[in-house]
Order: sequence, then structure tokens, then C-alpha cells
Amino acid sequence: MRSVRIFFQKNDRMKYISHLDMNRFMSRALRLSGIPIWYTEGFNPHPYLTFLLPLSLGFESDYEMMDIRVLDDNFGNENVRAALQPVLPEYIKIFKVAEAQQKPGKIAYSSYRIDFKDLSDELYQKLGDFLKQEEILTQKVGKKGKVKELNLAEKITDCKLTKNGESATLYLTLPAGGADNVNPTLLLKAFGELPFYRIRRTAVLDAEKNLFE
Amino acid sequence: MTEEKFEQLLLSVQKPGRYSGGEPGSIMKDKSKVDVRFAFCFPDIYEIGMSHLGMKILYSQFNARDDIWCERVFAPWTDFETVMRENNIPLFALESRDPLSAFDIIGFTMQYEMSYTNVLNMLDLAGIPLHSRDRKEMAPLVVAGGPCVCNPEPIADFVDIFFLGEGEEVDLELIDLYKKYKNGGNKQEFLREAARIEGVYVPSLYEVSYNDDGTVQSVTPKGDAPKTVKKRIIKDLDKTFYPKNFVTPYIEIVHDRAVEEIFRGCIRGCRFCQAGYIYRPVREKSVDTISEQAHTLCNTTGYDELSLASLSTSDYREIEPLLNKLLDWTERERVSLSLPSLRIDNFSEELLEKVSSVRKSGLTFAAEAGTQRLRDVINKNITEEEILGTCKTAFEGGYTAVKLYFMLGLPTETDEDLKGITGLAQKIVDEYYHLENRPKGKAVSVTAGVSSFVPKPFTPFQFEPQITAEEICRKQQFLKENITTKKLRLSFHDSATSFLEGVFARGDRRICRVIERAFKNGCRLDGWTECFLPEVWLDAFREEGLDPAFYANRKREYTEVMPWDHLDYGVTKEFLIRENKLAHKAKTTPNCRQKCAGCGANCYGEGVCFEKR
Repeated sequence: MRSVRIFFQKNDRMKYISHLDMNRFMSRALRLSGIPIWYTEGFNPHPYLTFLLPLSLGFESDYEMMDIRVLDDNFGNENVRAALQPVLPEYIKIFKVAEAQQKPGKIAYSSYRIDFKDLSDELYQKLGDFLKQEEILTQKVGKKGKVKELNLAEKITDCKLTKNGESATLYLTLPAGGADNVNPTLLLKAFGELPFYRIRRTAVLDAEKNLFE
Repeated sequence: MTEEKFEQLLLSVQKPGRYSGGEPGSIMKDKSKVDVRFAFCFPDIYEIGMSHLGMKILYSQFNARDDIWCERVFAPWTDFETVMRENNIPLFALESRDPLSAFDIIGFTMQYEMSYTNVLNMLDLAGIPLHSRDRKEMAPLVVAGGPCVCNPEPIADFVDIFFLGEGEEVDLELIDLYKKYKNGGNKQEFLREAARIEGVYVPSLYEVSYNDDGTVQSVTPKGDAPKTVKKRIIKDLDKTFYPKNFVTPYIEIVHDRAVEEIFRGCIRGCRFCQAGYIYRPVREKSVDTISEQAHTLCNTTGYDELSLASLSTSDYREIEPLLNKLLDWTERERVSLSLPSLRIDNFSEELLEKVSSVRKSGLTFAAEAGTQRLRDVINKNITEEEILGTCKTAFEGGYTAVKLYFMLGLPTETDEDLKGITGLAQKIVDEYYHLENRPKGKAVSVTAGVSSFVPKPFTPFQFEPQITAEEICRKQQFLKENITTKKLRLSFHDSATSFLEGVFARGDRRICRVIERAFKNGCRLDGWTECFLPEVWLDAFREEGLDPAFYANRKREYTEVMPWDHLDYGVTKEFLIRENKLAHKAKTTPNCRQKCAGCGANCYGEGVCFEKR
């Protein structure tokens, strides 16, 4: 038995599908694929699968990861890809199947791209200034309902705002994973009213800001 | 509406997956290449509608034809309805996202009386006139089918055509006729011709007159519309269409599994149960067909759970060979098998073993009434001995949770009968603790769901008064006070909902006005406690000058003309009267396989009526 990490994009309509729902749906897809996967033991056996870093509802992603266990050592990574991709909707694109290099606990950052289709010069200027502040205070509600004061400015790295005609794009990296996790919508909400935007996770990184693999 | 705007709005509501479409198994076609666009509407939210087998069958069957594109439409939840109205988004189909008004035929499936306002809301959200008389063109044609349309009168003003009985054949016949008229045909002519198809009821072709006391005097066909409309059935279930694939939803729905229908109808004849009469006669699918179809479904959908659907699974004649055949591949392929609707009396040890070899779910028994006398009245032919015996078997097999279903407010019911409900629960608990080899260290739990009896058309109890909402509340309180064990949990149905359900079930055409008014005053999603507005409903009755008690709580004479008497579901009124009289004498009627009760359903020339005995 070997552990296999499947890397995929989550595009378009799939953004409306929550993490929990992805789980159920992927479990069916894995059954359909015919990949000799390991089933959990116990009361209700089901295909073992785990998503590495849950993606918020409404986000698209270039860098999603899912771990499964393949029973047959001769069933290679290319076989996994060839078996699974055809039973997935067009909105999910596998771009890599590989042995897991790092443990999920090593995830430290997520990079995002936020696309504004129509951002006025004024708002562009304002958003740029906002991001350059030394302090961006906001409140975050923790798991137990505790409200925590948070300085987002300390959390943002690799921030870049560009404008191209009407549209604008914001790139940034934020802490992600079990230890510290900051959702980019927290930042955008702290700014205030904004026109329509789309959020896309572009990469998941480790503590050294290398691509998590 | 731009794609961005739509996206933004979707992300502002709960569970956007209800409205986003694109699920595996959903069918896309080029709309310029089909003749008929059919919007299959389920008048409730996505999670409910997507669990419905009838919709899956017809969706696949219609789409199997190149000239039809059938799409799915559900009622939005309140949050999205608000968003739709504020942003002028018309109700749309999930596949193409085209508004309902772009469709040729809008078809509703009526599964539950409390969804009537949802039909109006869905039409309204699409900007389609509510009344059929205000829709002069061929498109969109509004049709409806499903069990509730056995008395379609409460929604007769809104629907052009009702399909009585099973839809697989008659729906397509109607669509074919529609194609002939589609381009420039006259709708009135079309409706008159449609009325000649067996199983098609065109309400606008019937005039209803009333007596001074408010009862129906007569229902008279206009022109050459048939005097009675007979429901359709599928004669051979082995040969009829069954889906090879389901649309598998992304979001969690109520029943998210592969479903295989094993037979239609029920041999039992429980006198309160509408399904037991309107789906007659019993027709079975063969073991081979079931196994093959179910296997295909699991292979195409990826479901790891298979449920057998029927009104009473254990009444399937070859249930053991069937289970053996299914277990052959389900065990190997890790598909768990669930058997809902098991009856107590023929629930054998072997059967139990087969089910539990796969997955242990709860045990559910429909005892329906608390005393033998009352069970005889309702023709629920099971004894307390059988109930306790089955529980014993189940406990020995490792089960510790039992769920029981009862009804209160049944005809001739007394407080003694109610005491029998809590009494039976106590006996089940005692049975468990008297068992030496009961599961170690576990407590037993008995849950009793007590619903309120609602008299339904085409049952022997169609003549009976429903008890009032106040009386329902009193009986519920009485039951609570009679609980003698902490292992018993009781749950009840809302009395106001049951009352309204009773009004709709036996309502006549005048109820249309009330439903429309209540809808305009804000009623919708009435089956959802958090949305149900009983006061608004009562006001609507008052404003329309109709008394709901007249419909719910009044006893009908055998001679009274029922609003549905011109519809023929195979069972004769004489039979229903005979059964009603037997009920009042607490005399039971044997099931269809023991002895034919002469209900009339043999007129279809098929099924259990002609089985070799």
C-alpha cells in the first residue's frame, strides 16, 4: 500500500461546493475510477481520502491536494490520474499525481489571487494605501466563538496590487494551516465596500515559502 | 444579468450548490436541436426534490429522446427567493439556467398537499400567469402529476392538464400531441384532444356545481370530454424504462443513494393509507431485472448505498432470492443494502441477518395504532405478539434502537387506544430487559413518531371526519402524560399542518381561491415549520368565505358526491363503502394474496389480481 497525493484545480461551478460536500462527491468518484484504494476499517467502511487544506466556499483554486492510499503498488501515479480524471467533472483538473513529500502539518502559507473586474482608480488608490498600512486591525471569531483582535498587516506577505485598464489584481500570501490561518475575505471585509471580485488560491507553501508538495 | 452578478448573488445565500447545477449525470443539450423543452419542477427545495425517485425516472426517460430536453427546477429557499425578487431573477432551470418562461411544458410533481403554494410561487417567480385561463398560448403549458392529483381540485384553476396515475407512458403521449400543436396550434383544441388520452384530466373541461349545503352537486364534462378519467398504470415493470444513471448531487440531500424500485402497489389495504389504494394493482419487477438495473446504477453513479423502494419491501414474493442475488455483488463491491418499509409480521431472522450483514441501521416498525381493536379497524393486520416477537429477534441480533410509527385521531379512537401506544412502548422496553442475551452494556431506546391521521381520497376513510386541531393537541398532551418509561421518546406532527393537509386532501375547486390568497399574503414552503403561517391561512379562508372545518372535520355520507368522484383510480366507491363499514365493525380484510377483496383494480388485467395461487 502506498500513499498518493493528487493535485488538482477547482474551477468554475465547483466553487459553490463546500469542503464537506467535496468529500462525499470525491468518495463516489474514487469508487467510479476503479483505483484499488484502501477503505477505512470499522463500522461503515468508506474510501480513505483526505483533503489537505479546506478551501472556503466561493473560492477557486490552482492548488488543491487530496491524499488517498493505493493498495496495489503496481498501480502507478499515471494510472491513478488516467483512472480518476475521466470520472470528474470538467471543473476539476488533476495536474499532478505524486508521492506525498511533506506531512500536512508542514503547510504554513497560502497564496491568493484576487481579481477585480472593474475597480475604479479611486478605489485602486485607496486599496493600495490600505494595504501599505502598518496596522490593519480586525476581529476574528475563533472556533469557540471567542472574538480575537488581529493585526492583519503583520500577516500579509508578498502583496502586490496591479491594474490593467478597468480590471485589477491583488496577489498576496497569508498564513494557512492548523497553526494560523487567515482568510483573505477577512482583509477585504476590513477594507469595506468593494465591487465584485473572485478569489483564487494559487499555491500552498511551507514555512520556507517553498511550494508544499 | 451578468455572470458576475449571478455569481455574487449565489455566494450571498446559504448552500449555493442548490442552485448552481452542473452535477454529474445532469444532461446538457443544444436547445436549438430539440422540439420540446420540458421543465420538471419539484415544488420544494433541492434537497427534497433531488431525493425523489419519480423525478429521476422521468428525467432520464424524457432525455433519452433526442427531441426532448428535460431540465430540473426546484423551489428556492426563502433567502434566495428574496435575492431573486430583489434582482429580478426569474426562476430558472438548473441545466441551461434559462427562465421557466422559455420552456414549452412546465411539469409539477405533487407529492404532498403542503407544497401547493410552492407551485404558485414558482410560477410567479417566473412571471407566468397563475391561472390556466390567463395562459392563452400553447407555451408554457402547465401540467402536474403525482399522488396528490388523485384529488387535483384544490389546484385545478392553475394547471392545464393533470396526469392521473403512472407517468411513463401518458407523459410522452401528451408530449407527442403537444408537438403537433406547438407551432401555431390552438390551445383549446389541443386541450380537447388531450382529454381523449387515457389518464389525462383537463380540469377546465369540467363544470362543478354545488348544493345549498356546500357539497358538490355534480361535475359535468363539457363537449366530448370523458365523463370519468381513468388513471394509467404501467403493465409490465420489467419492460418499462428505468434510469441507468442518476444526477448525483454535490450537496447533501435527504436520500443520497442508488434506489431501485422493486414493485408498485401494496397488497395490504391498510384503510388509512392512500398509497395502498391509488397504486393498485400490485405489480412486481423480476429478481433479474432488479439486480441488473441496480448494479448498473451503482456502477454509473458511484453510490455505495443501494436502497430498495416499494411500499412494503418484505411483501416482495421472492425477497430472499432477491437478497441473495443482490448480496452476490453488493458485498464484493462494498455496496451497502438498505431495506426500508419492512413489515413486522414477515420479518424473518434470515432476512434480518442478511440486512445486518451489510450495515446496521435502525429498526423501524409502523404499528400505527396502540390496541388490537384499533389495528383491526384500520386493517393493519399485525398483532402485539408479532411486534414483540420481531423486537426480540432484532434485540438478539444486536439492535438496541427501535423506532415505531403511530397515528392519533384514527376513526373510533378512544383514550384507551392512546394508552395502548405508550403501553406498547413499555412492553418493548420490558422485552429488552427480560432478554438474557441482550447486547451487553447498552440501553434500549424506543422512539415513537406519532402523526395525526388525515383522511384521504380513495381510501375507505374518505368519508370520515378528521379530528380538530384542538383535539389533536389534547391527544398529544394525553400521550405525553401517559409515558411510563424514560426509554421512550415521543415526537408529534404539528396539529395546524395536519388540519390544513386535511382540508387540501379533500378540498374542492373553491379551495383554489384560498390557496391563491394565502400565497399572495405570504404563504409558501408550508411544509416547513419555520415558514408555516397558520394564522395567514385562517385569514385567507375567512376572506374567501370558506370554512376549513367543512372540509376537514365533516363526516361525509356514502351518497355524497366527492370532488374526485369523476376520477377513476381502479378502486370502486362501492368497495370503499364496504371497507368503511367493515372498519366500523372492527373487521379486517385479508390482503390481496390471501383473498381478493374485489376492489375493482383487476380492471387493469395485470398484477397481483392474476397471480397463480
